[in-house]
Amino acid sequence: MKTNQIFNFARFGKYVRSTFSTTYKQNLLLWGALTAFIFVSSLLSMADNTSRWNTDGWMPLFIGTYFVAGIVFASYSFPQFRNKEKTMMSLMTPVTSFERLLYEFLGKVVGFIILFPVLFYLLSSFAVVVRNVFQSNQVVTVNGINSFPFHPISFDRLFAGGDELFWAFFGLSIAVFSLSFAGTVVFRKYPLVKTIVFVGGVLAVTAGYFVLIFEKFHLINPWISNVADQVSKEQGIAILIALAATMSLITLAYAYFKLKEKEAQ
Amino acid sequence: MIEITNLSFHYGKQKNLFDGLSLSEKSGSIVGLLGKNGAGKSTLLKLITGLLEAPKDSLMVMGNVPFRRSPSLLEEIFFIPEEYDLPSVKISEYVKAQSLFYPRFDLLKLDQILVDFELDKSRRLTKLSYGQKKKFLIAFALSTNCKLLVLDEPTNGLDIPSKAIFRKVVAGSLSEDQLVIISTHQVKDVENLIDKIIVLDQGKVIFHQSLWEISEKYAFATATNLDGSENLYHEVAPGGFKVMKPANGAATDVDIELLFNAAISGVTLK
Repeated sequence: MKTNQIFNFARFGKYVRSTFSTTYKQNLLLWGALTAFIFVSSLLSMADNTSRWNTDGWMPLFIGTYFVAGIVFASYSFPQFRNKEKTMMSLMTPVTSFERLLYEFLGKVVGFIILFPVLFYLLSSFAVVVRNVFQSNQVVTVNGINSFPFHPISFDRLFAGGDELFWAFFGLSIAVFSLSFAGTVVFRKYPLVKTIVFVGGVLAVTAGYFVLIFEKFHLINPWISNVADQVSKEQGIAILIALAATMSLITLAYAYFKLKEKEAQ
Repeated sequence: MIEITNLSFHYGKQKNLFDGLSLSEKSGSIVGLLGKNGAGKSTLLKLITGLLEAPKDSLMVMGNVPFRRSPSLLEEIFFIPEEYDLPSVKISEYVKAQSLFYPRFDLLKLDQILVDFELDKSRRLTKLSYGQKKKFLIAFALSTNCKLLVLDEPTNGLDIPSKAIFRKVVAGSLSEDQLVIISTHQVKDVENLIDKIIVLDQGKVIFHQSLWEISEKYAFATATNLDGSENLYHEVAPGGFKVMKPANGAATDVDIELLFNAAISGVTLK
């Protein structure tokens, strides 16, 4: 098969321009909703917590909103496949399945992973300013210096463990978002709900199966039993990264082949 | 351009919609695809355009398997489905975005057809009526200069003047290397436009001839009474009967509706 029939840069460029110009409003809405979500979450988390936040206090909120928003964001991939008519018009566009997949993946997964931390930093910092303005009577004086109780987020803590932790976080998020992304190719209606139910079902059945087998036959593998003692933190992170990468590859390959076989019924 | 050999197709667990359907069509024609509701006209069009998967080796379009949807093939096919969903952008924006994909897109032709259809390029697609959207899509399809244009019920939703303009712009916009397939059950709308007729019934092509061949073989007339035994088919009409009979050298206009009814009622037409 010619490479041109899989990916062509000029054609991909046309597709990006064309799709962007006809869907920019929906994308703006999506990013607008995300912006509102981050800002409101930041404000609410401070409103609910009267204890003094330091820069580390933001981490649970950042990680929580990152995964929740990322999963939801990825579930808005391939909006054209939500109805039959748009599916037909889209499938007739002269681009390859790979180019379609790449465009959506870059826009809804990679774009999110890159922009979310920036957006979160800006919006949570703004939320800190807003909160401090409205609660200016809570100024704390430390060593003669006036200080507001809330401080903006710093990402140093998240990646303080070194590159491995960064790659683990990155790999895990790609894997999780890829599942949500692939669901939008497979399911026409309510892809997020159906993907969660499907993945949850598979995990439950798999876990249940192994628990039953190990329990029933009293299988005790010393390596598994002592895994926590035998595997170092670095090895654990490496295993997590490898598992996440494998899962992402399998999920994206599955999405690609489903896209190739997509019919307009 | 289109080669269909022994095509069988069914949706899911339903019975076969097509069973051993064969068809061959070259460029340079406007083909009317006729059939009763549920005969499989739209399905056949979707198979031809690669929106549905046909069994292996049973369907080729311009030497390609359409379901592979290679961009080089899709650049040469434009399909207007019966139902469609257009983005909320202006006509001019849509044209700018979508014309990129069609190497022979003719903007002047589009402008002229839009004028014929009285459509303003500054209008937003979602604000257009169903018929106006269809007229825009017809204009866009013709302007792509694709080798294969597939139109599913193109005159649905068009008002009476627009139907006449539709016939005019389609007839005036095509070249010899193009093939147009028009699926319709409103045969009057495509009279004087199509030059070939394909009739689908019960999963098979039961009739496939050019209008020239039809007019050579058959004569269509109205009569106050049924006098001859040589009538192939007749229908009651106001004031008498519509009759189809062997031409025997007499040249008449082809009554497509009568021909279609004759074909699906089982009259043997050679």
